[in-house]
Amino acid sequence: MVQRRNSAAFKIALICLPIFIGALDLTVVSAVLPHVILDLEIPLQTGLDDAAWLVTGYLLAYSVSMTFMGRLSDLYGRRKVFLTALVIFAVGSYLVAVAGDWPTNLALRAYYLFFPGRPDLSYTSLYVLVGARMIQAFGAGSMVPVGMALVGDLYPEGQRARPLGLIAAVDTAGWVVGHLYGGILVRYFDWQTIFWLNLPICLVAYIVISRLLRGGEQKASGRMDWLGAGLIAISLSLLNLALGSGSEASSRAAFGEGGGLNQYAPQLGLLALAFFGLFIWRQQKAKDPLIDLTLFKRANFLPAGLANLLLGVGMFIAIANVPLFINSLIALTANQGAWESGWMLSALTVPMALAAVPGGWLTDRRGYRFPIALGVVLAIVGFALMSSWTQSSTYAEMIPHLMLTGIGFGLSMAPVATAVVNASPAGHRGTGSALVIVFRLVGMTIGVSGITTYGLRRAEQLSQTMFSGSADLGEVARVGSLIIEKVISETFLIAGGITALVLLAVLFVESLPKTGGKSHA
Amino acid sequence: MRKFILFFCISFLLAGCSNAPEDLPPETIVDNSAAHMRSLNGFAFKLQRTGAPVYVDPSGVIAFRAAEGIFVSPDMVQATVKIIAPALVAEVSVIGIGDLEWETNIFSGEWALVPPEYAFQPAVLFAPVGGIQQALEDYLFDIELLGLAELEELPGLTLYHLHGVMDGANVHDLTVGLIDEQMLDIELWISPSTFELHRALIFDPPDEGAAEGTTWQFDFWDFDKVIEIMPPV
Repeated sequence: MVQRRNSAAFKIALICLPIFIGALDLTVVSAVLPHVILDLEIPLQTGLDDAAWLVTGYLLAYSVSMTFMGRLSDLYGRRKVFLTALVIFAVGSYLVAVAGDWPTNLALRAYYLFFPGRPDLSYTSLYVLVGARMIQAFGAGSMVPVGMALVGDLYPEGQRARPLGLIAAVDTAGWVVGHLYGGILVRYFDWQTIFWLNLPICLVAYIVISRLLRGGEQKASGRMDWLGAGLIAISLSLLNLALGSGSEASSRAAFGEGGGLNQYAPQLGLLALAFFGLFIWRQQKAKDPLIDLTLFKRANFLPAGLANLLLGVGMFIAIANVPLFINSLIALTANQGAWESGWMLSALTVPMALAAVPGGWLTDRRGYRFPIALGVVLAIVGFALMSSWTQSSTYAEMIPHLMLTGIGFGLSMAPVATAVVNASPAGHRGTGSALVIVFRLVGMTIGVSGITTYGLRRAEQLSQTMFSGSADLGEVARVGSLIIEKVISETFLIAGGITALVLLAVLFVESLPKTGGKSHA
Repeated sequence: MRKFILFFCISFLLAGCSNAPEDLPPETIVDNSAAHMRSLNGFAFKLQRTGAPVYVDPSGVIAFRAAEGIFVSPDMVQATVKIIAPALVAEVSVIGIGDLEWETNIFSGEWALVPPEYAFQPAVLFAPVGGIQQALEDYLFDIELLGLAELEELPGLTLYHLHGVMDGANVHDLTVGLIDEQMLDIELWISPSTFELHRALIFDPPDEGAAEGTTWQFDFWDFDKVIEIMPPV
């Protein structure tokens, strides 16, 4: 019996490795983004919005795959689906590493077959890179629910909370340290190395996992709800387009190229809602739905899920804007920026991970509300302090602010996640655990899309009033820095405001855990 | 067998009737092309620099990377110019009408009239009289036909591929000093049927002590396209 449990633990530990790497690649891009922008020669004014898709595209594909790949593994077998996901992740990693070479040439050749003109090489490479990142993310995201479902196969009912918590924690740990990993690597190697390194890891993982998961697999009967998967994928994609569609720079509009999707943002948002409604309808009607909607009727599930989503928004604004602040206002080179951003973000993420432990401990003793509220208040104070940063702020001044925010998030994340999982009935803990991550990822996606749009629009607005029209480059740089400082300060305040909304959601969370389940990261 | 002979005869007759593209002297091809390009009402263009950076400001900080837009004969242009500064890539929108040229501020996007000595002037560069087309016609020498070739961007379209030499002094002022005053190798891709110039590559050799030279690639398409170009509001 003990041997069987050890074997199960070994299997879970092994599948955690590619899950960790996949999650790592979610935030690794915050370190490499300035390098990518310079390498691909993406223009500052018109390209930042598109470049942000390197982050949001990954988040989007990661979230979408998590919603249905677990179910697919029920039908086709964990081994087959997990290994397929691993291969997709490896292929995506390879394509990211070589995106500027043959894939871009291929895309250009395809373009020339159908259209006249000369597409911009920078944008073509960027779009290819975004596509490759999305392939990578689809594989990475798929591994998480399949891994969680595997827990259900390997462990009896009652013993699943710990391994499920482990997978969720490994996934969180991946994106928590991704920026630091990226910062360290780009200091010594080119940014493509990060993605090349995934290949040998995937190969080893493939060989070991394919042997380890061989045999004794049970497949469920029933059908895959492809329509439901399609509807949720379309809804999330439209939501992203709506949020990211307001930031086209004036230079494009000046040439009568229109505001891109800008003018359609409300319609896109409504369409996203409509498709989400269709998804809900489909889940109610489907014989084998992807998500059991009765989960949402259970106490704590919805408010804790919403709280998790809002925490995701606030957290990712911090994760995205700290590197932006350092790269734009402090670092002199992209390398220095990546390195220092990585370390500085650790002042946010390491306390966040560490504070999850007392967060879980407090949850066991005081219920959900107290640690969530305490954490949220600390994060709000942290954001308020971060909004006071200026170009002359030192790292010594910034670190305590980041730590305070990180501790706040850490304290509140564990009870929120535990509330969602504990609200799930015993047979649905896997779905509940996956939804914890999906809620947070959707929040992060909204955070990064929304804040990119806000930041670029606000910068454009401020530059209309703050620039004197001087051609002096020094003066232009000085005013530009002031604008960036002001915009980032405002986004930290917005992040604080959004995080404060968690307090409202918490009012609907029952104060004590319904079961004595373990806390989740 | 009868079908084969018929096919052979028709092929032979068709070959005899058509003017094989190689038949024209290379100088005539270039002259025809220059004349055709000068006669157009407008065209789309893209100019790209690769190799050694070429700076557009006196302090040598901002390097020219590319310009893409529409030229409307005789002296109007609307383009986007991509520049590279340390740790920054930016685009500047340009509108040129006659001697006047406006550019957008990198950060605010606001239009401002630019003094001629500051500006990259595509309207002058492509002007039918005194522009690059005329320079090719007047100053290109040692022209040879390298053969027929296809461009990746134009699959299925066979073009004349020519090589010639030009003294950079003839285009130095035209390009606001971007191209050096030294002997330049030039390659051209010209349509045999229309004499449209699809591409010109200008190889600017390395300056003394420099490791690499600069390559300028001019691409043209949307021949005879005309758009309305107005001063910015």
